[in-house]
Amino acid sequence: MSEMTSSDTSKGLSSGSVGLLGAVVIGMSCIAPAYTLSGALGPTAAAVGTHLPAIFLVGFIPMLLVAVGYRQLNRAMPDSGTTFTWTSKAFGPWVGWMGGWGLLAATILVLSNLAGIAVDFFYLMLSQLTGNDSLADLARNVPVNILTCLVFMAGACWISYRGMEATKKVQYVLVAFQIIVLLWFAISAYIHVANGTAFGGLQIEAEWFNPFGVPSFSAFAAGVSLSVFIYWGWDVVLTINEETTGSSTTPGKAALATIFSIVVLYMVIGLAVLSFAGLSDQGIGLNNAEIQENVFAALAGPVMGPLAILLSLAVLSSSAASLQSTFVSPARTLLAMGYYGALPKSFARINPRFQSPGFATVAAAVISSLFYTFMRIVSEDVLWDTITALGMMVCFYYGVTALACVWYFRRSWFRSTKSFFTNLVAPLLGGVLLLVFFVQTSVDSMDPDYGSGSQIGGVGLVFILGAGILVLGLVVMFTQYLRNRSFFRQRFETTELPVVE
Amino acid sequence: MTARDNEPGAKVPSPGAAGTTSSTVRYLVGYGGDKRSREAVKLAAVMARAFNAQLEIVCVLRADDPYQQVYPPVGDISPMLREQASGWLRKGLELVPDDVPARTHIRTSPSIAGGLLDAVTEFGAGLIVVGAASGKYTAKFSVGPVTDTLLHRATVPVALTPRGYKGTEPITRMYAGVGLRPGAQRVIDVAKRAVKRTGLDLVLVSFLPLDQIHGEPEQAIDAAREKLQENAAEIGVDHPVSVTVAEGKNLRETVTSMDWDTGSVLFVGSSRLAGDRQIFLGSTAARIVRHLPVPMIVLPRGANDPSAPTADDRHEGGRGMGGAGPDEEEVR
Repeated sequence: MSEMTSSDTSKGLSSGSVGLLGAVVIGMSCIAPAYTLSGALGPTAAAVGTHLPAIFLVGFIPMLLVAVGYRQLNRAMPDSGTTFTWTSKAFGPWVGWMGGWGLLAATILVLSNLAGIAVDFFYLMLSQLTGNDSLADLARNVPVNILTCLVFMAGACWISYRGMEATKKVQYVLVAFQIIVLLWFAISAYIHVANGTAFGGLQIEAEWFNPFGVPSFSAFAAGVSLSVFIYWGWDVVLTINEETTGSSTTPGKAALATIFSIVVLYMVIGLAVLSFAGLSDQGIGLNNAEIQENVFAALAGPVMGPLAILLSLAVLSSSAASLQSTFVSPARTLLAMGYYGALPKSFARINPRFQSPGFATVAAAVISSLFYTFMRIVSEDVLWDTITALGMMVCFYYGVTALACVWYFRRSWFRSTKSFFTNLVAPLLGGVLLLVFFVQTSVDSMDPDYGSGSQIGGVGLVFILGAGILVLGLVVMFTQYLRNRSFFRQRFETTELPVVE
Repeated sequence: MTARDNEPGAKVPSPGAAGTTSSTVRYLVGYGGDKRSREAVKLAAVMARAFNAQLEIVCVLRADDPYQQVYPPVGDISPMLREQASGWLRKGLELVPDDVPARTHIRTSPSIAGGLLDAVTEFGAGLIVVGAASGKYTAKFSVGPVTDTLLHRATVPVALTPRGYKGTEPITRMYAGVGLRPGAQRVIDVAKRAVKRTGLDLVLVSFLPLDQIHGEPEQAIDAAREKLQENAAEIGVDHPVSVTVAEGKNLRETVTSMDWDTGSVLFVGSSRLAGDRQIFLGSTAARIVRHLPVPMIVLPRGANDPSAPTADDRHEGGRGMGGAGPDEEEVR
């Protein structure tokens, strides 16, 4: 044929190029600060008390170190599956499988938590709208709560199944709205503190910023696990393609800009909440177990008065948006695992009409819904327990991924100073730290009094969750091994190709 | 034949067959791996036979919007999408008979319609063939968002495949929908040129839903027939041109009560709202297509220059003479 089958010329970049601000917005929307803070402030304060600001500052460090490794791996292997494919390549199929499972488990946990928070705020908002307080209590009614949550899940699943996407404009509006409302909340809280009308009315002290003041290593580990969760989302900025941003320096700059803004935002809010509410275990004190799993729901009214509905709206919209964007992730991980034969082939099926991994999306929805239903029945503080377990899972798969980076790039450790730090020191340190926190939190969480105090047969629920998920992973992995061994017999290239960089 | 990795396949035309020169008429098929897309391939193949064209079957994959990042990041799934799409395309290619040259392509674009329009430019295609919207609708052809965009933006004719199209019969007859308002000239011109070169039967048809007629129905029908006969006479004496006035109590009945020939296609023009050389599906045509059992081809509005080149006799003498009406647009 004389005219050549021409290459893929149009990638549609012109219409979707992302600049610095855009990348920061994307990062912010993935972190979903309103949702994250609402879920994590209580458990973190319970773990480390007034040292919350210190933990927020320190907790970021292992995250940053691991992110350096992430960036290296993403440059070398931008193909699907991230943790799953990367660890498979570095450590072989078995570890890779478990890494992928850890990531999946984390996303399933966060989906349950997101949907749970959304349910709380949905009813809170209804009650604020109608002025009828009894509506807010509906969220505590287990069957109503589960049913509402399943409806939310089904909605998010439907949207993802159809491959619908939020556009640039929507993301900008959502992020701007969250930040404005959160700052408003913080300022109102500071005004209450200054006027002496705050519930706790603590004065900010320098000691709050001292990470060494945290009473025990257990508390410290718990705090860091949780702050890993609050920064979870930030690393997306690093994986935004250089092609997409149109420059090789934008992702780096955007990552710094994002982290700077988010740390400042978290500090402002964290300090506001701490000094406004105090650590009393009564009323709206942060140590009151009643309010800990969803702090903003309790504090919005006292701090913002009639405008509290704005905060409900911010948290609701941020968790709804996250719910949708997070839905795609397990679906695509399942797709990648199915594609490589690590899970049954049906997970790799792509719906021709919507070009989305249909089977995997529905599977993710069903698993998250079952998980949420189970948790809602077993646990008294689902949100708290899932957040804690989630922190553990994130520590696990991040740790494994970071070590995969170290091993994968082993031949270039001493090639240059930069390589020494990005391929060896940073990911190794970050990975080891996170795995240490993972082990420490796992051991501590065996205690039935750990975290929210939920337990089954004298063993802490969080431990059962974390360990259970990993054991379940082993079971599924062996089942798949017996069904189809091809993936597990695959020989992966366990080091980077010499041409990289 | 240098098919790249992302080019799932191509059927090489038999040596000496018409349609391998650079002036080949190309039909672009918008293909998505579903049942409606396969029907579109069948229609494209039948039309390619009748009008001696070559097929470019294109599957457009939607690129992720960078503003919708997936979290936690899972990397790029497009290699898997592409692989799956090549599978769909292979299946699509199997539907094309061996004597019709066809190639398959995968393109990526933020919007599927945009990707198809880009592919039209890329291949210099003279016509786009699309299937009906997926999903369960009762209409023969329901316009999905992609087709809707094409029907308002394309600069080449768009062929719409009715739901359940089998593609078992060759095309032997063309219907040309002639409106009663001014602006019908475009369709007449195209029909005239097409019939001259293909020798297919031509039927000029006007749709006359009685609920939209003021005054006596009989009179209106006679007037319409008279007008059609004038048009038929204009087309020429060499080819017998028949005329039909389809009537019914509303547009739907008008369309369904007519005895459509199974091996036929209906040409309609664009609305007068269309820009120069652009398609804009008129409201009547939009309603006709929902009940039409045969394929419909929507023509773009002609260029303002009425003396656009018409000479295209490179396939003169063949059975399926190259470049029926729609392909005229390709000659620029």
